[in-house]
Amino acid sequence: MGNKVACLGLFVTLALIFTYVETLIPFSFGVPGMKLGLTNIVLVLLLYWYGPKEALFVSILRIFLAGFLFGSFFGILYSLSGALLSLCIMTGARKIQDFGMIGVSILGGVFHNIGQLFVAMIVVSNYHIGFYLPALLLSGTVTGWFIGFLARQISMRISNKIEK
Amino acid sequence: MKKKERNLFIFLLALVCFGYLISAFYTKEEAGKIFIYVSGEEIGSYPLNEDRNIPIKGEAGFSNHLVIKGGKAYMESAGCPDQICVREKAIWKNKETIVCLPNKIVVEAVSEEEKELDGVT
Ligand SMILES: [Zn+2]
Repeated sequence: MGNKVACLGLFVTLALIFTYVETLIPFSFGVPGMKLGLTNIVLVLLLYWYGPKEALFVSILRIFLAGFLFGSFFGILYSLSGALLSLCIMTGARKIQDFGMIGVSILGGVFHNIGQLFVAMIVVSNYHIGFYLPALLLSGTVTGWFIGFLARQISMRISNKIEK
Repeated sequence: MKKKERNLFIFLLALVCFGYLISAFYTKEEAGKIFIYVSGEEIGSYPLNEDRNIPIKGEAGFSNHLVIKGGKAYMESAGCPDQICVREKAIWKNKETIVCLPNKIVVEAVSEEEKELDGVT
């Protein structure tokens, strides 16, 4: 039990580091909400190694800490909406037969972007920004594939060493 | 990738293409004017054929600087933390937008035709 809490603490730290690294990489291409989604490596692995509760715990803690450390309060709202939707979808997708980390991660990436765009539309009260959707879908699909691929490689190597 | 994952990937890419087709259809006309909104409220509109500097005071308090030059509008500078609006490409076609989420600013380009339709309603 004690080991599990310590492990989750490490995952929060790892997710925070990824968040910081991500602020250094200009990946948005001038599209609001477009991102690399590196922290999703941590969430996908948590989902497989522990479960949705643990992933949710780390995700929320990561968002609030990152919001206070490198962002502003507004950023927390967008991140939360994207992250919660994405985690719900990934939790469901994990149960699909013949569906692995890559598929789960792709759906996570896509729905993360959809969730954020939806909140953005409400916040600025302008549905025309929905025209960013194709670009966000594309980036969610491609980065989701890449993140899922990395997560699977990591899992294949160290899954047996994780304290569950 | 497993078969189901590959199918998902292909389906999503097809959806992206479809989305781009739709947006290309809506944005095919050149815009004549831009509208500026803060928190959904229109605060001004300017023709794209006159060069101009427009300071915008947004919701979060810091100001953004919009420039109209050579028939296109772009965000020259902004006080927002993410600077995404500054990196957005210049807009000059119908329904193209520049968004500054932290400051709740939307700049939208609108074609002449669209404006007349709005005038009728
Ligand atoms: Zn901005």
